[in-house]
Amino acid sequence: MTTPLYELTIHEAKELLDNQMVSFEDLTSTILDRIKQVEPSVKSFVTVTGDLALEEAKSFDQNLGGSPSSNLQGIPFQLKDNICTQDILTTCSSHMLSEFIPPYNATVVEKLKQSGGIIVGKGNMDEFAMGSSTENSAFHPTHNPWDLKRVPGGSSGGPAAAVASGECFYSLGSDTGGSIRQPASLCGVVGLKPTYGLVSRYGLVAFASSLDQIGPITKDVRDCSIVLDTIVGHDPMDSTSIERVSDCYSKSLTGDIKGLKIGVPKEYFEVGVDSDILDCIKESLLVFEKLGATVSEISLPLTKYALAVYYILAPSEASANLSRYDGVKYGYSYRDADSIWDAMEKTRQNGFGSEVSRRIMLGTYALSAGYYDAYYVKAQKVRTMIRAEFSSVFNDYDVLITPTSPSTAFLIGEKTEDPLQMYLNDICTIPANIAGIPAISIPAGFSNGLPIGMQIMGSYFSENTILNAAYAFEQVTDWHKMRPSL
Amino acid sequence: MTIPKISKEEVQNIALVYRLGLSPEDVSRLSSELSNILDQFRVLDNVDTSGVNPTGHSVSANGVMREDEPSQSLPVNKILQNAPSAENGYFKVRPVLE
Repeated sequence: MTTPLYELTIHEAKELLDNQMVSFEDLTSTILDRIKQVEPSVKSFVTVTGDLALEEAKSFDQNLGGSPSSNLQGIPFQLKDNICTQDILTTCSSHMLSEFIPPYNATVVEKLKQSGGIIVGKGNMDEFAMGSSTENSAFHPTHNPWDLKRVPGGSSGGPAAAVASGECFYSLGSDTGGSIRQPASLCGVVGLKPTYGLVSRYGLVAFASSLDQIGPITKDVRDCSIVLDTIVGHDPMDSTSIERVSDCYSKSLTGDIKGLKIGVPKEYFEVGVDSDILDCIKESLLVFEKLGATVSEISLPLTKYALAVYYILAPSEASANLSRYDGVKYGYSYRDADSIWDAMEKTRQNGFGSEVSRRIMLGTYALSAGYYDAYYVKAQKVRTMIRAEFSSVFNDYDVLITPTSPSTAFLIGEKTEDPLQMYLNDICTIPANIAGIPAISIPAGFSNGLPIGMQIMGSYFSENTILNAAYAFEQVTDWHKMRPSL
Repeated sequence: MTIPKISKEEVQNIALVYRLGLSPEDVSRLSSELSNILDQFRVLDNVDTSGVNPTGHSVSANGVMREDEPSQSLPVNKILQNAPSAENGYFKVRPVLE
């Protein structure tokens, strides 16, 4: 066989398992070997659970005689380290939680385990999911597998780098303002932020609760649909998860998009996007036209306000969510204090990194008496208008296509000095979170050897439509088949 | 409205409200960073939001009700396994009143 096992997609690996060309143990040990080989240079993991994974794979071989009973059985996967795993360290890449072992599994973890998925470890991230480069991890930065001097994006940089480098077949990330899509774009993989409420957030360490959503990071669109099929659904433990009949995403991929109406919002092309990326997206739109879709330029004039809305709302919610870290119930605790207040202040001072402190301060300020209306309520009102603007556009168009990120992967250290510069990385991805709509990033080309991502957004619960559009594009392009050489 | 620059004293006050410890260097750095960031937010002053209701959640979330049925909770020892300090099945905290 010419293609190494670790470069396969989920559906390709499943075919080998089905035909008993490989055993469960073969598949898992290949991934564990790959982790050993590339992890010293990529550093996409916080924790590797190799022994547990191998034990599970062996038990599948013994009990199932080698054949999987679901799409994900025996397929090794990773989870971003803000998704709670029972008895496995869940750190959020923060000193605050560096020894935290959850007493329960997130709902998505339960679902994947019930499908027979094999956890190989937890993925590195920007601390508490705050960042766009994974440089805010309290432990170590992750390196982009396409160029180790560059960032993988963030905050799900570990998951995106792990999938791209073959250290797992898929990973789950979380996306509050682009944290699945932007790293997927920078690492040349597929990343989906589902509609808010489609996937349970129970067991996801909260950052900004009205924006956070868990989603898959995979090598291609079919894999993305397979994972989505498994993790969606109403959960009594998350009152914001939606009760609805689940679509079967993987079965609805036809590749037929004749008559699909594509809107191209011009504002997303005016935000300092690299010219190579602009050219790439324009060429990709021609591909869609050839496939029978219609492409029209449209305008979403409120786009320019999305960044400000996000950087008021997300830190405000974060400041409330992170107040639970008080050194009493769990997490790091400063022991040498004179008083309970001193203990709390020192716990947070030592436990949180600088970006987390910055956002707590920003949020506390925006929520404080005297500024609450001017910042927080104002941002919530503009949010209403942004949602309405998207809704009206979706009356006439099925999907919207834009770049995912204004640049390809940047150098480690290049943007760490200026927080505002770093925040601009999310300019194309933030609006979908504000509106709560689904959006996917798929590989669409390369610039100087670095992957370019294309974003496809759709209306609420139109995952079927955006996945099928993405799948149609994949059928006639090869970008998703490119693998970095490590 | 006119947005004031964030002084070091104001940074210290916000930190005190939150009970977030900051070093003197953090205070100076945050004073300038927060001022710069808040400056960017002024762009929202240009949006006419009169008559617009605020949105707290991206998907309209109605109140979710369920039957009040007792069910199994996590055992106390599992809850306390991550506690920095615990005694006799309780979290142990410093005196709140001195």
